[in-house]
Amino acid sequence: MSGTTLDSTAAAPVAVVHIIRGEVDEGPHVGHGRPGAAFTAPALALDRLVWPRTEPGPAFQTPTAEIVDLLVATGDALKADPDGLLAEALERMTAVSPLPAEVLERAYAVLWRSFRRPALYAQIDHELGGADVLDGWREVRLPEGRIAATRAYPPRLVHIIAGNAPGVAAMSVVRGALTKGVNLLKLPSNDLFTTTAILRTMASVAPGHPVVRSFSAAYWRGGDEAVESVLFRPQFFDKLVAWGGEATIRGALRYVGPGFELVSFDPKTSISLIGREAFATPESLAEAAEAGAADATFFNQQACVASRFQFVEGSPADADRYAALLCERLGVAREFSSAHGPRVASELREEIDVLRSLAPDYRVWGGYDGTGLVIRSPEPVDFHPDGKIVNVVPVPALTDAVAHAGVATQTVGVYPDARKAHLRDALACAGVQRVVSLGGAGGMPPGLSHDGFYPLQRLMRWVNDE
Amino acid sequence: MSGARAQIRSLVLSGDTFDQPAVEIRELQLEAAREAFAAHRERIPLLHTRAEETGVREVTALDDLVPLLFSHTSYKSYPLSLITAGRWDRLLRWYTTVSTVEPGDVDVDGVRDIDEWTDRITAAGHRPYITSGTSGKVSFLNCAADDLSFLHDILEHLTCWPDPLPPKPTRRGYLLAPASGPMRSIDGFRWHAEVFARPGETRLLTDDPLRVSELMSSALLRRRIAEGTATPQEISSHETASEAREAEMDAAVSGIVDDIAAHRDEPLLIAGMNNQQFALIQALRARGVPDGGLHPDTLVLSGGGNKGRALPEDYQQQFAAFYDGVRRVRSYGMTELQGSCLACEKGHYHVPPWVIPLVLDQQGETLLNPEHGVVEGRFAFLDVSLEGRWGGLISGDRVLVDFSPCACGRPGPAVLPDIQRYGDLGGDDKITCAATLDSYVRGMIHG
Repeated sequence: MSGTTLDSTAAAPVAVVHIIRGEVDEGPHVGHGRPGAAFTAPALALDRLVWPRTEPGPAFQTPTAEIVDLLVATGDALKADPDGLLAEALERMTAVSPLPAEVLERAYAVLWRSFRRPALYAQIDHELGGADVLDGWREVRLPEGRIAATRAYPPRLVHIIAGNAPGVAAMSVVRGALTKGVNLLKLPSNDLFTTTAILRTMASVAPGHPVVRSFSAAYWRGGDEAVESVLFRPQFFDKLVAWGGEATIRGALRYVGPGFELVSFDPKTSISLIGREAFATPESLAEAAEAGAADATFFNQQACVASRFQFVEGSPADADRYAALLCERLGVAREFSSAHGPRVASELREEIDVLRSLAPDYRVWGGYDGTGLVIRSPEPVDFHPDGKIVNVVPVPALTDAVAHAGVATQTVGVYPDARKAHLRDALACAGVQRVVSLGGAGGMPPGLSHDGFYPLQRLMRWVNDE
Repeated sequence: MSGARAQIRSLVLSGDTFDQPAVEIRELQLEAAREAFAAHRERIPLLHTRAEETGVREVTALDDLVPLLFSHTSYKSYPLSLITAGRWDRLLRWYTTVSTVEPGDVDVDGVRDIDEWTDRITAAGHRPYITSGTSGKVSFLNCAADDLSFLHDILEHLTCWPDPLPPKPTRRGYLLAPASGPMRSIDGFRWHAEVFARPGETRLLTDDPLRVSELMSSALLRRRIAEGTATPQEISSHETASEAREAEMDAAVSGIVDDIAAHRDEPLLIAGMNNQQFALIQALRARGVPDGGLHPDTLVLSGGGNKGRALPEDYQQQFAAFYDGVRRVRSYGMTELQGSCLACEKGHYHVPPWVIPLVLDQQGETLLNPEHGVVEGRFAFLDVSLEGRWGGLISGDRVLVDFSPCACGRPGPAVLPDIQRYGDLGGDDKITCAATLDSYVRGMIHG
C-alpha cells in the first residue's frame, strides 16, 4: 500500500519457526506475506529439506511400539504444555487465522486427543491389519500353496497441509510418525504455527529421537516453482499428501508422474438431510435443529465437514419452522465454534439482500453480524454459504435430496438415525464419503476411512517378497 | 433530472468537461450524490435495504457512500433457476430490486427465453446491459432512456478527448461485433458508426444479433456439470459449438481483413473488443499491412481488458504499434460507469465529473481519498448521472489515483496507468479443506 494509508499496526513482522530434521532452523530470515500480514521465515536451504535415498530414513527400523509411546508422551506434553510452546503458537495463530481466539483456544486444548494410544492403534489395526506389517514382513498365503511376504515400507512424504483447523497438523504428524517415513510439511499461510509447535513439543519429549529427526516443517509460498519444481521429484519423495485448496492440488498435478504420486484430501463440502420425523414433537424438532446447528458451525463453518445445505422433508412451512429454530441455535457457542462468527462478507450480503426481497419464495432468518443466518429457498442457492450461513431447502422426500449430493459432497448428516440405512447406498452412489448421524459431522474417528480411502494404507509403500 | 445532477450531466456539452476547478466540482458532486441517494433510495429496493441496514439516512460526506456501494455481484444475484425454469415474472421481480424498473412497467407475458425477456425490458424504455464474467453468469445493468441519450452525448462530444473528433460521418466502418444485442459495447460501436462512419458503409462481423442465451449457455452447462446431470455428449457438443463459433468468427475476420487491406488509404472506423482487435491485427500483419499503415484520420475503438489472460502480456503495446498514427480512444472504464476515464496527453485517465472516485482499502471498507497526492487502493465510485440504477459500485481493480492537479495542467483526480485486477495479483496461499462445487468443474469452456 502507499505511504499515505499504512496502518499504524505495522509492528515488526511475526517470525515463523522452521524445523529441519527435528531441530529449529537458526538460519537468517527472509520476508514473506503482504502488508498487514507480513511475516519472516528462515531462508530455505533446499538440500536440508530432503533425506537422501542412499540411506534409510532415521525411523525406518524403529519399532511401532516405541513410536506409539513417543506419540503418547507427546500428547501428554501437548496437554500440559510445560514449555509454553502451544501457548506461544496460539497467540500468533490468532493474528492470522480467520477463527476467533476462543475457538482456536479450545481446538489447541484438545490437540493431544489425536495422540491417545487407543486412537493410534485403531489406525494401525483397522488400516493396516496390525503393527506386524509395519515392523517386519507379514506372511501371505496365496493360491496353489504359494507363500509370500509383504511389508508396509516407510515412505518419503511431502505434506501440503490445510490451515483451517489446527487438528489437521496434529493428524498429519501422527500419520507421518506411524508410517516411520520421512516427512516434510509445508506450512499454509493461515496456520504457520501449529505444526512446528507440535514438532517442537515432540523434540522436547525425546530430543534427537529417530522419529523427531524424520520431520521437517517449512514455509514457502504455495505454488512457488523455485521450490516445488526442485523438491517434488521421485528422487526425493514418493508421495505428495495434499489437503484441499484447489490451486494447491492443480499446481501439484504438474509434478505428479512415475514414482511421484498424489494422495489428495480433496476440498469438500457437506450437507444434512432432516426427515419428517423431526416434526413429530416440539422436542424432536428442537433436537434436530440443535444437531443441524452443531454440524453447520463446526469451526465456524470453515471445515469441510461443516454442513451448508440442509434438506428438510416437508412443506415450505415445515422448513420454515426448522429454519427458525436452526437460526437460533447457530448463535450458540460450542466446543469448536463461537457464538459470534465472522461478519457476513459484503458480496454474500448483497446476494442475500436480494433474496430477502423475493419473499415468499425465499425467506431469511438472522442478520449479518456473524451469529448465524438461515435462508429457506425452493432449491439450493447459487452461492456458497460460508461463515455460519445455512441454506434450508424443503423436499417432498429425503430420497429427492440425494440428487443434491455429488462428488464434492463429503459428509451427509441424517436425522433421525434410523433413516441412514435406507439412504446410505444412494448417497454413496452419488459420490458421498461419510454418512453420519446429524450432529456427528465434526471430528472423524481414527481408524475409519477418510475421503473414501484408508490414509495410512495409502501412505505406505507395499513391498513384496515372493 | 434536475439540480446538481443535471448540472453535472450538462458538463458533457460544455467543451471543458475535464477542466472544472477541483473544489467547486467536489461540492457539486457531493450535492449530486445527496440527490442521487435520495432519489434512488425510494426506487431501488436493494439500496433501500442497504440504507436501512447501515443506518445511512443522508449523504453528508463521501464516507457515507462507502457502506452504500454495491458489488458487481448485485447485478447477477438472481437465482439461475429462475432462468432454467422460465420464471420470467420472478426474474423481473428480481430485476426491479436492483434497478428503477417497476414491476408494472414490463409485460413478460408469453416470454420464451432470456433474450425475449431482455427485449421486453428494452421495449419498456429501459436497457439491461449485460456483462459476462468467467463464471458465465451474466450481470444485468439497467439503463434508463435518459442514460442512453447521455451515453450518446458523451461519444458525440468526447470521442478522442483531449482532441475530440468532429462528429462527421466520413469513414468506412468495421464493427467486430454482432449486429445488435444488449451490450454496451455493441450499442457504443453502433452509435459511433452512426456518428463517424458513412451511412451504409459499415461492415459487421456477423449480421446475427448477440444472444444472451448463448452467453449464458456456459453458466447453465457449468451448473449441470456440477449437479452431475450433464452428459459427456452434452459437454462435447458445447465444446464443439464453441469451436465452431470461433472458426466462424475467424472466417468473418478474414473477410474484413481483405476489405480493410483494400481500403487502408481511406479513413476507417475499426471497433472491436480487445480479443477481436488482437485477432484482426495479427491477420492484417499477415496480409502485409505494416504497423502504422492506416489513414491518419482512422478511428480505432477497443476495450474489454484481458479476461482470463487470453491475450499476451504486451497486447496493449502491440495495439499501439500497429495503430500508430491513427485516432484512438484510450480510456479506463467499465460497463458499470457512464462514459470512461479518458487519457490526457500524459496518459493519465481523468475521471469524468459525473463520477465520484472512491478509493478504498483492499477489503473495500475504508475510504482512502486524500486531499492531494497519489493513493493506492480498490477502485470504487458513485456515478451520479445514472437514472436506471444506483451508480455506487465497488470494482475488482487495484488502482493508483492522483488527487493533485495533473501534469497535463488540468485538475485531478486521474487514475494512473498502472491498473491491475486484485484477482490477478494472486491471493495468499491460505489452504482450506472446504470447497465450493466450482473445484469439481474443470476447464470451462472457452470462458
